Amino acid sequence: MAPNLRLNAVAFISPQNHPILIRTFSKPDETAIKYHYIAHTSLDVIEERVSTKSSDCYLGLLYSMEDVAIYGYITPLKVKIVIALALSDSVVRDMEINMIFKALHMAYYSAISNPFLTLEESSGHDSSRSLLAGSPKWKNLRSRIDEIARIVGNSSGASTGG
Amino acid sequence: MNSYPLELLAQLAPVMFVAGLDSPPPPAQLTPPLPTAPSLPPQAPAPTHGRTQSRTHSRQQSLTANDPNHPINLPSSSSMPTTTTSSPSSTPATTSTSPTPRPDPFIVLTTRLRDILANQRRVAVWDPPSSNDKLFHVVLVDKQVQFPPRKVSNGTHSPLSPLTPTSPLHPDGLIAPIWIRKHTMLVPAVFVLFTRLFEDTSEDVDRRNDAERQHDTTLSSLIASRKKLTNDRGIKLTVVLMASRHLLDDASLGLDARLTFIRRQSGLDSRAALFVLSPIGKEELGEFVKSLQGALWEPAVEYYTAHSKRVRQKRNRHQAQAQSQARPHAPNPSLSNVVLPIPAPPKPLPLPPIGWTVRYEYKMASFAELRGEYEVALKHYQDAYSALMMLFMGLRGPGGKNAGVGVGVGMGKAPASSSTPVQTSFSNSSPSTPTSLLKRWAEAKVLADTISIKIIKLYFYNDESGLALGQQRLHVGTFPVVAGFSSASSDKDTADQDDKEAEEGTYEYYSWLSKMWCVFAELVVQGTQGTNITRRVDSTNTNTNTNANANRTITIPVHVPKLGGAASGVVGIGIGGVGGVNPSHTLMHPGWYYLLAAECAERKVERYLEAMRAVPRGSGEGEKELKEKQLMQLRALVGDVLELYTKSYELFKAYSSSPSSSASATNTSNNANARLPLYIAHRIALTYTRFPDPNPPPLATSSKNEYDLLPNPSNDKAPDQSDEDDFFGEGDLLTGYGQTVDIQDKDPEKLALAARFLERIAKSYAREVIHSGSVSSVATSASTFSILYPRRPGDASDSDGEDDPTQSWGWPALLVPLLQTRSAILKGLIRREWREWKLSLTCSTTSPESDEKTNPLGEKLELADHLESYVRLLVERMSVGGVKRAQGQVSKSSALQKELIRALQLLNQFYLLSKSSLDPEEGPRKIITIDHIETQPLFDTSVIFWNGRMWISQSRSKFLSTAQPQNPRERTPFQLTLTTPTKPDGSDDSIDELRWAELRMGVKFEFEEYITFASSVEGEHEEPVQVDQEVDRVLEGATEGAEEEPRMQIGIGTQEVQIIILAQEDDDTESASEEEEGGDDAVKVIDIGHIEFGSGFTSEEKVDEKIISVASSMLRWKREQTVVLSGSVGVTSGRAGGSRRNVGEGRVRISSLLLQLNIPSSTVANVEIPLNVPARRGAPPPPPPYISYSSTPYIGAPSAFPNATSIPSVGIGGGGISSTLTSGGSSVYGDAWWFTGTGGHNPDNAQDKEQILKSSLPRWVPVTRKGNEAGFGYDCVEVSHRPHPVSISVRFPHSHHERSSLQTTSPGPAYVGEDYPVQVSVKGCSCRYHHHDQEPGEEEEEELVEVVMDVLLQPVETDVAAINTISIGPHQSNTMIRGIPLGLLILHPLTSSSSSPLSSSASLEITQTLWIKNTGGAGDRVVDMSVRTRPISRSKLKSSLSYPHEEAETLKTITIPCIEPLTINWDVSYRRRVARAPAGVHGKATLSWLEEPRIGSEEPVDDDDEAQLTEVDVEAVVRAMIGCVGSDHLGVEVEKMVLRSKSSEYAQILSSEIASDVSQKENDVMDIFPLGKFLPDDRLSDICCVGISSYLYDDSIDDHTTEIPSLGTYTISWRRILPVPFGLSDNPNKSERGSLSTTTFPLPALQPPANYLTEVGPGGGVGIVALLDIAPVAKLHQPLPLTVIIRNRHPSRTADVYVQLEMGTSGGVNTAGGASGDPSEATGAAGTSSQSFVIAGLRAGRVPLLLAGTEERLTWMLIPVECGYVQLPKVKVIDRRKGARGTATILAGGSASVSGPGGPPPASISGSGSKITELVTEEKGELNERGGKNMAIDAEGRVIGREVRVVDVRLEQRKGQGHMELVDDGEAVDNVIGSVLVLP
Repeated sequence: MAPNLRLNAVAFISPQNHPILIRTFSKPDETAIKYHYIAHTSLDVIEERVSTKSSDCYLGLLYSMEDVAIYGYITPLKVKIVIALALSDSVVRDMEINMIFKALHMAYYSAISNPFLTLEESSGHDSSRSLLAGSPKWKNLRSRIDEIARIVGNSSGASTGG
Repeated sequence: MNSYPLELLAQLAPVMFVAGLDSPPPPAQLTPPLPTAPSLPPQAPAPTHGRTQSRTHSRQQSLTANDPNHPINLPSSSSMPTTTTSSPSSTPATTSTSPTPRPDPFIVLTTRLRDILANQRRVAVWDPPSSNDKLFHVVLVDKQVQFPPRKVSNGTHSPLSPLTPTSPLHPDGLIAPIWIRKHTMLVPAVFVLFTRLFEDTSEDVDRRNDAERQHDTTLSSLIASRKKLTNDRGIKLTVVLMASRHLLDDASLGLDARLTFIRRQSGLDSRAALFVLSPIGKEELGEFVKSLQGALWEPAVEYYTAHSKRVRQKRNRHQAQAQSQARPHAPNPSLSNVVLPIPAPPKPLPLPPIGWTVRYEYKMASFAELRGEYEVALKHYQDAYSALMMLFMGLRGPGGKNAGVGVGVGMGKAPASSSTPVQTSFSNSSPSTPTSLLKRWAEAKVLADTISIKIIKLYFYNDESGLALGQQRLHVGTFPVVAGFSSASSDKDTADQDDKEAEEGTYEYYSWLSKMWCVFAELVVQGTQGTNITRRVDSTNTNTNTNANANRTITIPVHVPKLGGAASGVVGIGIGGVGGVNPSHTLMHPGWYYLLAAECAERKVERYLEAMRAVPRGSGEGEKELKEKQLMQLRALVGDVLELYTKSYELFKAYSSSPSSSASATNTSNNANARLPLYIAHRIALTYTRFPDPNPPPLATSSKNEYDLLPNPSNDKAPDQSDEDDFFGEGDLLTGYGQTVDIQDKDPEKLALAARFLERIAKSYAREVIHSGSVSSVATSASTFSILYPRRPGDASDSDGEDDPTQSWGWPALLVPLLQTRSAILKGLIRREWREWKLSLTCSTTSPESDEKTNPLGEKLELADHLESYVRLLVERMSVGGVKRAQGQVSKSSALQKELIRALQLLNQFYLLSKSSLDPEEGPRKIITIDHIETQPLFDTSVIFWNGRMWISQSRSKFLSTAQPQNPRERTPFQLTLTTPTKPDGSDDSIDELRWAELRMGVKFEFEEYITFASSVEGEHEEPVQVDQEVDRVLEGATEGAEEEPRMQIGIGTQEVQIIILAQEDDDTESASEEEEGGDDAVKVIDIGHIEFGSGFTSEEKVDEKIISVASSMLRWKREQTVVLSGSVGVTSGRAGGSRRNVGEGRVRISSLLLQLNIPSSTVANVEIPLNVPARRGAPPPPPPYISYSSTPYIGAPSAFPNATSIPSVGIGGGGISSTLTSGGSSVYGDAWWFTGTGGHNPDNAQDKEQILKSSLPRWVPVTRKGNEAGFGYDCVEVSHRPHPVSISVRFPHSHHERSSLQTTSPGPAYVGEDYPVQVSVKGCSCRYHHHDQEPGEEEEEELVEVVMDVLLQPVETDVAAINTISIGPHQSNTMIRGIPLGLLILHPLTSSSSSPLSSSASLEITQTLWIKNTGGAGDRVVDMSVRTRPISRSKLKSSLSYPHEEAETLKTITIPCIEPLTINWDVSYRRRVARAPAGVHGKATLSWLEEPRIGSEEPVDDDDEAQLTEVDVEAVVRAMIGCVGSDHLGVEVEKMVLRSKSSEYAQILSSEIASDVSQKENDVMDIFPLGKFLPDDRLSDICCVGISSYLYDDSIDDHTTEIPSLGTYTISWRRILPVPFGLSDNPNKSERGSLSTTTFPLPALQPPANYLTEVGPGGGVGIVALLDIAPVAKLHQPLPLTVIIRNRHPSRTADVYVQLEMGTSGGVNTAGGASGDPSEATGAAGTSSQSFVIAGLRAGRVPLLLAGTEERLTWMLIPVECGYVQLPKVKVIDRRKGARGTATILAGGSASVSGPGGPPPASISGSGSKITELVTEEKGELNERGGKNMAIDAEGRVIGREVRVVDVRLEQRKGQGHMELVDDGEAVDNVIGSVLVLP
């Protein structure tokens, strides 16, 4: 069995390439900015992939760094989801990653389905505007992501998906 | 990679020694036999002697063998015997050659050979195998070269063996690079000896033979001696004899015998040992070299195989030995002793068995590699690697922890053993005591690294990038642990004394790691950039670039996820298993690995710094030297980091640009795909900050305190000393967030460089924020950013994790640390430079003569520069985001602004001082302008004009006072809001301590300006700002008195008001007074007042500018505070005023906004911040959330306007908010909010505190643009002249609906062809502008305007080609009539306007009739009317001058439906003409009958026999049905109807119903008769007959068309019956008629059936037709003529026709069959003809020969004897002409198929088509049934001829138009002879 996947960070990036939420699960130290950089730079690779690839949401392994492997996902509405997995010397199955992404996507989806989310927006021109990084409105999404990360970390390779 | 010995890395290839290719001797020395003194050619590297490479680290050889100067051959070691000894033996080649002017071909040959061989392969690390080339590594040697000794003379071991005491490896070395060198340089696999074959040129055969024999013997002996040498070693010897071409060709010279002799004598092999080469060209030479190598490849492989075998045997023996010996050395392996440094054993023990395994495996791997067997090599390398790992493990494993610690201490943690880590770890030049032991260890490490690299490389050769990366990761991950120089997690327990280091690795570790990744990256670079490495110069020596891509073996995979179909349980191993990859084994482009290497190198630098700090500081000279050395070392290290980063950056750039250039084009942001390079650039910039200061200030190194205690010379006189100290004292403020940068003791130049770098990078990041934000949607321009930005930079991992309050827009998380770092750097720089400057200043003041040197200007400028950019940076930071306020750190809340103030004061001081000391004439003030073009603005700004459009007020009286309230549309209030951004997250960048000196606001009025030039030009305003065009306006109808010749220019004028709001300088009482004034209010209002433009704009100084100063004390912003500048603008037109400026349309906007900072005690330097209006993120502050539901009811109440004078109450509705909130803004401008003041208006409800609080909250109402202002922006107001109240009404006299409404009549339909009148009446509107505040009783002034109309008729959509005409009076046009003067009109007529003096010449309403004549198709006609009104003022009634800006234009568009009054339907049928055509219808060239008045006239045609007879064969009957479609009861009265005929070559109208005589051509009128009223559904019909000549078909047979264009037109003249006007309906007879109109209908084009003309039909002989004609009704017993006309229509053939009248029953008679059943059906009841008639006439007989084109008429007389429908007797016509059928049918087939496209009945196509096949069968004589149908067969069964089709002309009538033909297929009509109704 494959060893457990460990999520180090999850980033949601808006279609306009603004961070929506960057959540790190590593130790709360200054490495958080590292994941900001990772999220930011992975946009490069995502754009490259999107331009060449067809309509698949899951973009696969974007790149791997010294200790993390970055995977990307783009929703049909161009919200980008980037996860950073702790690098381990084992094959990471696309199915599992895709499942994680799907779960994250669903979490995001249900979070933005909140009708109160855009209530304060007087001129709803830019729907993603309310979905900025660190918005206090993301409490629910944040907890969902944490839950996903926890499940991913706990489950063995076979039972991923929670 | 450079740090490894090249031998251990380079790609191996079999070695070939080539001797005898000496460089040519100089020409002067040709004659004597030369010693080959310089045996090696100059380009071959001379071996360097005595350079023992035992220490391999110092080697600095680049492996990227790009430069040709790089030595190809490795330097030989000392053990190599000297090969350059001059040999006395004369070579035959030199003796035989005689000097010739041409170069000796053999010298050329040898030179070329040498070139080819020497250059064919370069030693490179990356040299992947190519399939077909077998390349040797060629070493050019002397002929007398000696091989190194195999064994030491007295021992049994090789001189390199560890067992040999003299070996460098003795006693426990593994493998030295020298071993590889031995096999690549000193010992070949094959030895090729080039030598010249002696050739005697003498004629004497015997002498020649003797000489040859003699020389050959010598040669043989030479070869034999060489052979002996090589044989000893198993080296293949090959001799290449160079002989002349002549010798080779001439068999008589006995070459073969000589060769055999030489071979035998010298004992050469029989195989591939002797070659003969004659001087040949380069290409052939290349081929030769190739074939030579190909032939020698196998011996080489054998050679190395033999070596391998021997090594394998040794290994096996050794392993067995080792096992049996039970590891005698195991407990104390030598290496473990080696690495234990302290008790260095004096006598190391020999190599352990596992070491020998490493040795043997490595050798075998090398031999396999030499053989080119890479798979085998890979396996052996792997074995060697694992054995080596085991060797290391063995040291650590059984030796226990001590060994591990020992290794760790010895190598990594130098401080434990040696007090100077720097020395031990880094400097190879000064090794510590156990040198040799450390050396062994280092050698082993190098060996491990190089083996790993080889393995990786071999994987890459196979493009197994995953495995390669896996090996790399394995090596990187495990080897440090195994080798013990990294204390990874496994031995963390042992290294508990320094936990941090244990976790993060040591200096050594990172150094090694960086190196490994760097090497890996280099490998990938070399593998991917094939063009970069020239693997070889092609053996043909031509520049072939075929191998340009040969090296590109590494493909960088892109992970394409595979999701479906993966078996769930199976997890693949390696790449691509089951739908997944191992991310650590996925190769990326080499930039990543350089990045990795750089990061490791950076950590290495950190370790170094730690070590440096750990060293206690001593003193003294040595210490200083050491310090300097360390600094140098540090600089070098940082330089390495920088280099790695730069390499990575370049690769990232290259990789991001190349594959995704298309992607970036489509991307929204322009800096897409540059984020990764940007990141690396950021790292590069940070690396710059690591450079140590090369010459630190003597005291600066100690501490900061000393720094600050530096004596300040200006201490006593500078009052701001405390500020300065504060400024420097708060240095740590700027760090501690994100990356912390220690800028102390760093190189200032590099720091400055880093600061510049960071500035650029920060701009890129900021641009991304702004750019992508603005791209996201257009609508965000006004208010998008206002709500959510700026947010403090995200710190997503707060400790609680549940609610991080940060919100970020864009990537401030990346930007803010960057800015902080940059400011820290700048601050450090400033601090340093300030000190230096101060010092220099002190020097200069004390010794003024020396100041030139100590105070260079550049330094000063640099300081100023840095100070300035620091100021800019601070402002930028204030606008982007701020300092995270930690708990309890309130004191720093306003840090940035304080910092800013201090920096400015410093700058000020600097300027003051420098000015006094250096250049007193320097500029008076230094203004730093901070532009927000690429950063976020400091303030949210917005501007709202209450109205989107306003009118220019006409100053009608000279004593106009602007204070007088005018029309409210003539002035509009505006508000400009400046808001400090809201920061809900608690970060505080408040700017409340910043006092702003002034706020300048420019209000600009841009307008079209009209400047008049009278003949006497005295205007002082000739030069407009910009003259767009000069219009010489002489307008139609207004050019009466033009003698003054006034001219006018249109320009663009501007008027600008600078409003300067000065802060009130009551410093002391400021705070108190502000509190009183409500300084804490969220919104402060500064009233500017009214600004009047236009003629009301008066200014003293300049014409275009005016300055208004307002003093206010409100120029300070607290958090979230808003300052509203409110005022109003108006524009006055200047004709009546004193100004000459005539103001046209324009707009008023806020042009500029500029804030100037007031720095206390700063007199020189200051900061100006221009702001954009509206700012990008700026917008009016969003309403607090509760406003929308708690205070909505109060908004809009009149009391909400404290300054109600400037704000009209018009249009403010309570419903405004909710509507805009929900609708979300209708325009792109989003919502705008108007400040209406603070609360307090409803004190009744203010019981509780909350209510009170709310009541003091500011309230904002939305401003919406509705109605005609929709679409106008809020940030400007459009200024235009008040439109003239002119209305246009249109009436349609022809319309029927007039009675319902007079004004808004919709036009009735116009008829195509008629003149349709439209009555346009222009009327001055009497409407007034009623407004609330308008004085009752005020009336508009009467005004006289001149009216000019333009009419534009739009093209008709349905019929673009139609030409319609409009006309007004004399003007007429197809499209547009311009400038129709309509006369004068009175506007605003007073109620008592009758007394007006204007009424004489003007009218209240002008009516004009517009006629529209429509031709073409039906459809809507659209007419645009534009009525321009120009005022003619009373005073200047005579003036011809008019200003376009005073014109008003009123537009009106009408749409008139247009229908056709009459429609026509055509019905066309065709029939054959029976009437006898006159014999004289001739004419190929011209149809004579067209000249004749009538076809069929009996006039004989006199002339030409050559002309073919032509007939009117077909008649087309065209029936026209003309109907009236007029609407309702509207009709037309048709006056006449005329058929006008056109002539055609082949057709002519023969007759018409309405025309008794078609021949009346003179007036083209066929008939006139009064038709009278023609109401809808009335119809009129006409039938006309058109004769068509058969030549039509004959001639048009080529172009496949049988269509006859329209032959004429019906022209109908009609009048419209006008409706009865309302009120006159009682007299219907008086209904009017419209004007005469005509409608023409062209006759349809005719398409006669093709076979009518050519008689192609089933059963008919082509060209011959028989027409049967009989009266349809007969009387019993009365004779009835039956006429059969046989026409020979064939153009050239005569016909031999046989006619037979068959009297039998229809079934019996009709031998042809086919029509048997039909007659009865067609005729209903039929008797048999034999009984029905008595027939008189020819029963059977032959008609006289029918010439081509003639006809024969046969007549029978039938006497009916029976009543009813009686079947006619069958007439059979047979064309008996032999051969006719063949040609005829072919003709028929051809013609029928030709006529196909023209649209004849499809049946005829198929019929004729089938006939072709039928014909073919007939020709073969096979008479089938179908053939018999058309054949007439006589009684004997012979074919007697072809039956001619007999057509009953009564039955055959075809409908026209092709498709209408329903029944008329050939089969049905054919041969049907109808019946006759016989009446009694």
